[in-house]
Amino acid sequence: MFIATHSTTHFVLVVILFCAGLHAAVGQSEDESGENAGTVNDFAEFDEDEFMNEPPKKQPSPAPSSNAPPRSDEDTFVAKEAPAGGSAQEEASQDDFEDISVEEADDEDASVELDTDQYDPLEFEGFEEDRPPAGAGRNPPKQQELKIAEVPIVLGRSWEHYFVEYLLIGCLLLYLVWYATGKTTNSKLVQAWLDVHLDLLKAHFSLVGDEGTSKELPTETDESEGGEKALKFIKEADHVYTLWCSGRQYVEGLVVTLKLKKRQDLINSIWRMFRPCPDQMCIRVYMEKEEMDTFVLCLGKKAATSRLSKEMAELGLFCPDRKSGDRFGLPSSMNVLAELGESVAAILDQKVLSVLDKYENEVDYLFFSDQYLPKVDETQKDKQLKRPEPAKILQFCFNLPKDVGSPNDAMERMHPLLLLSLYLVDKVHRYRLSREAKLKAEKNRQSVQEEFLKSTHAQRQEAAQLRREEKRREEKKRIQEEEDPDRQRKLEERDYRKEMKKRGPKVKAVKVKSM
Amino acid sequence: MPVSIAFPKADDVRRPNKIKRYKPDMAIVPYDDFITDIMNILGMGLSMAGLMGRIKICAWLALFCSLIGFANARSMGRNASFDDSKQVLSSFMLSISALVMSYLQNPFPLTAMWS
Repeated sequence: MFIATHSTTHFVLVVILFCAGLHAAVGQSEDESGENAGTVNDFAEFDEDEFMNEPPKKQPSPAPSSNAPPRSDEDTFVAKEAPAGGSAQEEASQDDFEDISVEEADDEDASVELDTDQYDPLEFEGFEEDRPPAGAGRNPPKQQELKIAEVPIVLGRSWEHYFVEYLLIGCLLLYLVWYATGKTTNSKLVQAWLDVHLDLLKAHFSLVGDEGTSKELPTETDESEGGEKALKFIKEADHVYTLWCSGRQYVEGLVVTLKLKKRQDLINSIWRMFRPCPDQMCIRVYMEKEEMDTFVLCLGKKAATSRLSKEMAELGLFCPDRKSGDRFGLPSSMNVLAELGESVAAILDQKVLSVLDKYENEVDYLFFSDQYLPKVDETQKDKQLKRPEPAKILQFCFNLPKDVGSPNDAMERMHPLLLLSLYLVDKVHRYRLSREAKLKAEKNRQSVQEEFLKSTHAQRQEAAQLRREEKRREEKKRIQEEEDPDRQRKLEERDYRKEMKKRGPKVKAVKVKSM
Repeated sequence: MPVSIAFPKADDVRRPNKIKRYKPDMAIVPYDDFITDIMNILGMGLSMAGLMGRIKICAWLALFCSLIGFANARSMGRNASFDDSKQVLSSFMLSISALVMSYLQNPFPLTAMWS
């Protein structure tokens, strides 16, 4: 921009200087021609009023402009009446004549203006002074030499100087290529997962793969016609895929979410070299209300359980203390957070324990909760006056093995874990709390509910106040809109009485009879 | 030791009459992923610096920011509340315009830091 403005100002300067030079040169030549015109050209026009007393050599020709008034006979007469003698005066007027012819040559239109009426001296202030003396044109001032500002020599405008840009464009292309390959790798992994698990899912669920957008359910015929299209993971992002299954006994639905590495993001890939994180398969099962008893339980890797207790509020509320997995026959790398001790023993039967033992590396956490509350925005949280109905969910998270070659092999390894999840669904359905445990769980839920009500007490009061005010306003409005004045008066009185009653002290007036 | 959890094949556990439709809030969405938002804000700031201050490297960085935001964006059109596509698009537009403007006004190449 600086360069641009600099060059612009320079250009303007050059143009101005050029114009000045041109004007001077033109003025000179005009002067010369004007001189000739003064002596030779007798048709030069001038104002008669100005030269009233001077005899023109010939009758001046009428002005070329159509709006110029035609010369009247009187004027001509006056001109003719003027004394013919006085050569000195004539000589003096000759100079003026010359000047005018110069002006005329400069601008014909202007000359017309000058001819027809005298210019307003107020409007053309200093016009006479600015006019150059007649002799000035003959000796033009020495032309000023153009000063050309030094322009920095343009260096590096050739293509080879743009190597930083080439480098940046190279990074850009690298990033884009990385994005494309990472995206395809992730989608291949997802496809491999689907290839391995589809049969099992279809055996357990009537509906596999629903986006929730179409009005009609994807049916078997759809799948046979365009299998790929009908059965598709929902892409939440380029590294998060979701599959919805529904239509099984005991459950409302099951969501499989594949949280893969951000292979599409080069920066994240570099970051992961230092802090590796695995691909994950998370399964959330929405249990039917009556198919799960009331308990909260979490078991899994130490890091995972501590992370989850931050994410899920109910873990903090119901299971404050964590125990090592050793005590329950689990691998020592695992922690257990349990609301009720007996639920751990009931859920972890021999089969489950053996699977957990074998897939110790793959299992991230298993989480059972009857108090799951979907996350809400902080802004809406304040408006919440009633505790929403908690959902009953099971959530399992498994890490995909890293050291397995092809994606299909890795997914084969995940197959028993999906089976475990489905097995646990049935297990939870069968499990019923003992009488004491049930009582304890009820008590816990009661206290949590009370806590919630306490925390929202002020807000609820405010809401009630608002409701009351709204009601009063409506009543007032109704009275105002009443057309019958008698009725209106009556209503007003009743309203007033009601208000006084509310305001007045709650003391019974007792009439005391004086004897 | 082979681990097997077998389900009896005889009884079908499927219940077609209990089908429920999918709702977007049922998904396990990574709520903690704010990279796109951060990159959008960063990209906007850098674009402004590139446009106003004619700092070409800022315009370049803004372009990279919007690219990272694009790679991490939540999917297009699935769920209105998680849709990042508009933000990503505007971020791209802004960064590219910053780049074009800065090179139009000063077509000199960037000087490398090491030279």
